[in-house]
Amino acid sequence: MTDYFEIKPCKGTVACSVVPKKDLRLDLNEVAKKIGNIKVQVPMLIIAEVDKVEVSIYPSGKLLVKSKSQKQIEEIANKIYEMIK
Amino acid sequence: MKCLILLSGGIDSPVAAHLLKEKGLEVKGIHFSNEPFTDNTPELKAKKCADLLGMDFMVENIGKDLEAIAKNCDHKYYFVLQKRCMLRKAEKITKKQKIDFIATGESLAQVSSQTLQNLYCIDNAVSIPVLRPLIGLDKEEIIKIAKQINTYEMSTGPEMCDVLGPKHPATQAKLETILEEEEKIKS
Repeated sequence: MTDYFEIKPCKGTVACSVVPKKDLRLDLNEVAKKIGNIKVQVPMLIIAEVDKVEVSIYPSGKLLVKSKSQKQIEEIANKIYEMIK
Repeated sequence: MKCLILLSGGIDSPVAAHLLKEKGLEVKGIHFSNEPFTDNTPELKAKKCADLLGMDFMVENIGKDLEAIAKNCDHKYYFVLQKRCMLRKAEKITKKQKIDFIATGESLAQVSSQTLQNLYCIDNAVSIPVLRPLIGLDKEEIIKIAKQINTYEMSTGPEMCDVLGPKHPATQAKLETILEEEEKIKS
């Protein structure tokens, strides 16, 4: 856990949700431009590949990271939040 | 007679399959994968349950269909539209394989999308009869049977959240509205 966000397992261990401490109200079109490598984009979320890991990104800034490694999840979350600042 | 059951990977559909088999139907299972919107955990759980119950098992990916629904339609109708999509695809399979019924593990009002009005809208998508052996059971009764037939543990394993599901799904969808929403996908 960091000051900026919290990592929560998603009903188990196959993925984790990363929840920012406040709602970021992201424009997903802008996020898609900044992050690139978008697999899917629908109004309610983006699915992108970051460091070879699939990540779903919500307008609130919540992430669903398909990884079991806490360290990797934290690195990816930090990278994404830095990119979309 | 033969039946094709939609196996979601959850607790209910294997129980529904079991009850139908007990009544003498030949039951085959189909799992509609939602990847990339989920991972493959539901598929793996559905397969384990199908194997345990001695059923043939098929998988079809509907990720593109779900993407189209999510991009074009009012989000609150997502579950109704998703299920109509799955039933239509299941019906195509029943025609090819000369299967008499489709079945699901839905029970009435177990979740907010499973109301009578919504089920009416969902069933309207197909002409083949849709069996719902759990329709009058509550969750505790379903879990009890799942434990008896040993599918409970494998159905409740970890899985990724449903990323496309609305927080407040429509509970009383009107058929004409659903048909209008589907027109948005066709166009």
